[in-house]
Amino acid sequence: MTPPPAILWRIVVRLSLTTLIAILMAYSWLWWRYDSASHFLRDRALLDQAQEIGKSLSITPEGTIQLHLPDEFRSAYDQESGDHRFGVRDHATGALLAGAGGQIGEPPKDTDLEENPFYTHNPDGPGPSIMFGAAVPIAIANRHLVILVEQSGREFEAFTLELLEDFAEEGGWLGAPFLLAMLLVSLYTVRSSLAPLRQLSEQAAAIGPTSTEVRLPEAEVPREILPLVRAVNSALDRLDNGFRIQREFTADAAHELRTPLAVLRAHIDTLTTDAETRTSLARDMDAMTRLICQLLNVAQVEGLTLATTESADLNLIAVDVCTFLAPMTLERDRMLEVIEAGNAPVVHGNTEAIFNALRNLVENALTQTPAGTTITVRVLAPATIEVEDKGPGVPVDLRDRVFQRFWRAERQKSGAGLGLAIVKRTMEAHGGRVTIADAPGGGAVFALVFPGPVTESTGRSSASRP
Amino acid sequence: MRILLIEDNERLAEFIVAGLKSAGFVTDIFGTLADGEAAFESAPYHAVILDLGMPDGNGLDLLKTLRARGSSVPIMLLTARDGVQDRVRGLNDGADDYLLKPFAMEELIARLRAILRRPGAALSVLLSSGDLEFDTIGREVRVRGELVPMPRREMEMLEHLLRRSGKVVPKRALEESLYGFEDEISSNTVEVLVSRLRKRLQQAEAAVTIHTLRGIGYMLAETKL
Repeated sequence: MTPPPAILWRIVVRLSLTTLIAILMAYSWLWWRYDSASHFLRDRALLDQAQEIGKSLSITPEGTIQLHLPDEFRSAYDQESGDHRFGVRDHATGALLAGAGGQIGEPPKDTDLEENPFYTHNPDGPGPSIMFGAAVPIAIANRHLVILVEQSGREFEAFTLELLEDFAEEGGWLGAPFLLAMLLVSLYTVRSSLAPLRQLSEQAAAIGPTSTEVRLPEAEVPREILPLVRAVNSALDRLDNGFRIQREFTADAAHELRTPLAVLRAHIDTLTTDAETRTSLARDMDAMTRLICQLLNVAQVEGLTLATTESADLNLIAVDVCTFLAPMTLERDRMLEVIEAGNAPVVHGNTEAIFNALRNLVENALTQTPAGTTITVRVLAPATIEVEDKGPGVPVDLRDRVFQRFWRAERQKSGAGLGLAIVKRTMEAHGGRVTIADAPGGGAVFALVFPGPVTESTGRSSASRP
Repeated sequence: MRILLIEDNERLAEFIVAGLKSAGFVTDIFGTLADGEAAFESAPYHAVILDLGMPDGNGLDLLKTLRARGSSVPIMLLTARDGVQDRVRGLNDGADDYLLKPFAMEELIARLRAILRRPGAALSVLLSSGDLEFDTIGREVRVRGELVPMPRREMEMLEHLLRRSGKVVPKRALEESLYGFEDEISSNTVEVLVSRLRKRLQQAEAAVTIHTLRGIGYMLAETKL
């Protein structure tokens, strides 16, 4: 299916067509106006000539007709079969009494010459030349005559054509810049009125499942688009509400699950049986607690949404996580170190979620790295946290699978295999990713790669843990 | 010592009372914030254990009320919500410690003792770890009863580490504790002092270790055998 044509193109095509039609119509109108004007002028000229000829007519007492044309007037009729002709006919008989310039036509019959003296005459049959004529009746000394004056149509047509050509050549080009200007103006208008729409699209594109609190601004939106924006915003409200309900549910579930766990744990701790049973029960209890916490974490991270103003300092988080896990690490004869980045990389993110993700990575490293070795947590500019262990590393073909839920390496005896799934989901929610590489000298390097630091380091949230 | 426990889950409250009793604490239980507050007004308590999720409101409100009245009684929060933000808010509002459910009874007792030792609560003046004892008022350090003399700055540092034994003390916190002694702290002052203190404890054959966690801080713990 081809995409529908862009509004811009539709406007350009339709405007161009309209402009072309308008130009053609303007030309036709001009032609018609000019044509009628030139006819009018020609007719006037013919009548004037006829009158002039009429004035120079006289009739001798013998009854012959005499013409006393001025010289410059006469020279116009000198040419035989020329463009200008005249003749004087007897009105009643039609006999040619005088004339010059070539064969002259007959005055139109059955018409009142006073009213419509004009006629056309085709001296060579249907051919290139056509004569336009005027027949003016005149009465001199009781004789009724008709003065016929003819003028070649060729001349007028040539003149008209030439004028039009000139106009088309010089004036016609006026249409092109006009069309161009129209197109540019409409291009600009369309683009500028669509600009808010493009902005809206960009803002809408930024709305993901993790940033549901963003709404499209309704200010400066063209009135035609406002209903769409409102509809999108109301859909987002409902979506946001869904996420909020899910978050509240997991928070409530956490509360509801942790309290009975606390009761059970307190019960075990205050049992009066032997210490060995207590310790063993407590260990099972811890494993179950850990699993439940991880499941709650999975649910939390699934419903994770980022507020636009939320930011997290990766240096702080790295130190906080390691401060939190250091006692456990030392308990297990491993060491932990943090190498902070020079200037604090602050990312757009949820401090708590990133804390949890990093905690899971370090706990994973703790299960992999041999006793007596050091786990290194390294914060790198622009926005990456690496966790390096000295364990066996992750084979290349397993690197995708370790992030699946409930995946567990054969060698990994503890945990439910949810930790790395939580890490992956957390990074997805932040628009980042988690990668695995080989550490120099063996071991694995897990890296939390964020899309980039926030530009202005406002609203930095601290994550200090006791 | 008398402890006020404000907890709405009766079973949990019973077990906590039993656990604290075995550690020598006397505990009064109240199931609502209102009752807890009334009890706090009517009797002197050495510490309060406060559950945040109560039927008649959020424990944080009671915490703020008590602190606003100028009470400096150590308060430990119990919560089922494992949010970092909750924790930070609780501590900002004046809680002395924060325990996430479920917790080991041992942990609760140890943390309770730790907050009871804090200045202001100064009931117990003896800090200890392994065979090391520290008299915070007499300013004496003993290993298996033998006096270990040390300069004041090292002693100050040891006190800091002992107060949070088993936990990491950030290097910055140790630096700040030394400001009273020197106007200028060079970047390696803490390292030098820790290394001297470590050597001194080793010579005294104390069963404690000061761990250095690069980029994180220092932690004093009983030496594992």
